[in-house]
Amino acid sequence: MIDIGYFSLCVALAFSGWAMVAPLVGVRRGNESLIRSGERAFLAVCALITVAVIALWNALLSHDFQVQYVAETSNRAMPLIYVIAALWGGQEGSLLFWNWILTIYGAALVLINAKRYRRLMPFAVPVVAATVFFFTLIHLFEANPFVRLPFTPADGRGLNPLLQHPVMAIHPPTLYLGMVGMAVPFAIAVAALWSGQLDQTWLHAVRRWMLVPWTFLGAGLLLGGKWAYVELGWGGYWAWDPVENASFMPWLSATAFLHSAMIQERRGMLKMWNLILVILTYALCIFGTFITRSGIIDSVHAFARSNIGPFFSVFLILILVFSISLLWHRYRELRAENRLESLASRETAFLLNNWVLLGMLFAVFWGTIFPLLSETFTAEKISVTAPFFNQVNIPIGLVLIFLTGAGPLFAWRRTSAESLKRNFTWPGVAALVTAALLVAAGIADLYAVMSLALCAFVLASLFTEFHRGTQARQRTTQVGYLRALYALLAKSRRRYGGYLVHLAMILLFVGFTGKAFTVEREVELGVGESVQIDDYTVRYEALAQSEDANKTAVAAALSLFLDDRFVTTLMPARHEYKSFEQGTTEVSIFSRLREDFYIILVGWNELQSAKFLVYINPLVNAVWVGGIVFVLGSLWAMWPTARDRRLAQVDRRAMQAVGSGATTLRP
Amino acid sequence: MKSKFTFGAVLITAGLVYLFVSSVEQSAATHVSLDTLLEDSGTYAGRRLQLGGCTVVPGSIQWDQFRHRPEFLVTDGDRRLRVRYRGNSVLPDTFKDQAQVVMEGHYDRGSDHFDAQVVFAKCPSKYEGQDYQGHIDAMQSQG
Repeated sequence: MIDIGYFSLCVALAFSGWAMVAPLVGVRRGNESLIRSGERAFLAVCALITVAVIALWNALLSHDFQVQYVAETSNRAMPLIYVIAALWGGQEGSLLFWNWILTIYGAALVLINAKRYRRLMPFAVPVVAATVFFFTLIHLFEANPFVRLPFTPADGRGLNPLLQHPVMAIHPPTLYLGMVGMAVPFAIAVAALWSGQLDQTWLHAVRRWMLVPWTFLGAGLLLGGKWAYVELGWGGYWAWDPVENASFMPWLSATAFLHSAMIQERRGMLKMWNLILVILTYALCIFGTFITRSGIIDSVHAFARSNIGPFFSVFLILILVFSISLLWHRYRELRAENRLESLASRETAFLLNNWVLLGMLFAVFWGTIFPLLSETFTAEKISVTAPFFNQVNIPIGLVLIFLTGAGPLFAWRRTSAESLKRNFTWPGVAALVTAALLVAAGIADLYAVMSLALCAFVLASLFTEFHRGTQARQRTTQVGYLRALYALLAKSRRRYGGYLVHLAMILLFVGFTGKAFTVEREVELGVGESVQIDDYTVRYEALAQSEDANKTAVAAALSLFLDDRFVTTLMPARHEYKSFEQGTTEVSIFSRLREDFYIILVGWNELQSAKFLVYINPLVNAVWVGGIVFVLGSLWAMWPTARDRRLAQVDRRAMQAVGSGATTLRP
Repeated sequence: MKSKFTFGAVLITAGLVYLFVSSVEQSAATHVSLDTLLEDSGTYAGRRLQLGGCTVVPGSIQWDQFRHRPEFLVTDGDRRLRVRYRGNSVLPDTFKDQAQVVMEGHYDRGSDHFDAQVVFAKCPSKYEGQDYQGHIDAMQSQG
């Protein structure tokens, strides 16, 4: 079966080469069937890579330990879900997984949009195919998942227990669906530049294809944070580690694009800028993968130096050189159709939003590559540690929250003074009242007060948007409030889905603000002793040892009381995995709306006294709830309405009529 | 209009640059290898350092009563240094004999030891960079 896998990769290489070349030759010679042939070749590539993936999965599931990759990433004792997840658990498999997702996205582009964006396809397909070609080259020559050992081990090594957690099983696929998916908007943008089709077509195409990976990327980031929080036991969920930053940066540039795209749509401005953002997003994804796999920057996630670093850096340079030359070539055709008319306009707010998001991106980028830069230009290699990122990004974040609330309060082009006064009054009052209440309650942390006050500002702004929209609908359609509200949400999905995503951002920021109030305590307790922390009392009851096939475990049982009422039993533990000679720390968490009570078992002595680390994390659950709202809001924004579907059908029919030569489309 | 906008952009950029520079100063940690540090300890004493390229000397980990803050020895193959962990967090689960570690902290010249605030131990990923032969040997010895 494995040789089928390898063979598929070889054939896929050939077909992807054809998919790169045929459409380009076809469009030059006006040969439509060559173009179609290239598209079909790409679909074949997708099928072939799928065969390779199935072959690898088959090897994993049948415990074929003669395959080196299987022996490294799985063993007999591993639960089924992690054997499946082992597909992306190691270098070679994860590259194949990346390639597979890429072909699926590309195939989706061909199947869904081939007719609608006919003139872009002959250029977009080769771009995606070239990427697949690159990855397949890597599979065949540098990181082959199908390498066999000269003998068959009785059992594999298996996946490290730290990675055997449900969230960890879905975090990489989610992240990949995000990072890899950015190749499609990139392909469309390049296609627009290459073909000279620089009207609004490419913008619509890119926006739809950007939303999906953007959502996955955001979700993947939060899943990673959630895993770190519940599994790693340091009380936090984000460490500004280079690999984390690597996946955060493309999300920032994609977010900037989603906003400035609206300016281009309305006012025909920022065309060049938007193309740059799309290219930048994809380049950052490749850069991210490069950092992660090459070992060039130290990181807790860092994998040992491997040989594929140079492949990715060359690829990245090629992408950048190619894109920049296309931009240069088309410079004159990307002139803005309108100009900025007033500072008090939504355009300005969106421009500021872009500046700020890119400022944050630059800060993160700067901090991440600082060691490389300092090493190149000075004698010393210097890292900037987590405090840098927090110190820089908190003020930037505050400006971002403000803009999130202020943006919708401005009108396009120019906002009159009365509108400004009317729109800003209630949100402004909400912010001031919140700030006053917080200060009165004794909260002295300036950033925290500003953050929560601005969150109130945004909430009030969102509320006014929803309310006014519903009222307007009520006036025209004479229905009840709730029905009007629902109709509003259902009709303008992009807009109100977007507002829901803003709401999610506010929840996230509220959660982040909670970090300013974290309580951290070290406690040493003998059996039966208790300690009081804030409103909680925790009593150490007993230490218990247990053992199973995989591991030995020591767990401490503690009774948790809140205001003297028993709430739950906490069981922080330490597991020692037999095959890995390594332990994991099992955190125990009691969650409520306000905060988490988070406890770690540090160690114990012969007398069974034990030491614990306790964190009280206020507002942390707002982060996870925000994550869910984010995904829901984004789904809502993307979901086509009945009208969208009808329009798409009309489009398809028109395209078919043109394609068959029956009519010509007027430009 | 254009000039108002440019002015704003310049202001924002200036603000960001100021923010960057001051934050870098406050959080910078200089990378050193064990070699460089011990050779030149005068230069590096008192500065926040990131010490990498070391592994934990087998058998050298001395835990406190509750396995929280150990003292241990690290080596780069050549020289050795005593390290005391002073941070609050529980050490990563990857911290053990022969683990590759990266530590942030300060070097105490007087007592010739390193006070580590943060200890990173090599992440348990599977992206190992061993060559094929190394893998074979590893598999066979386990097998």
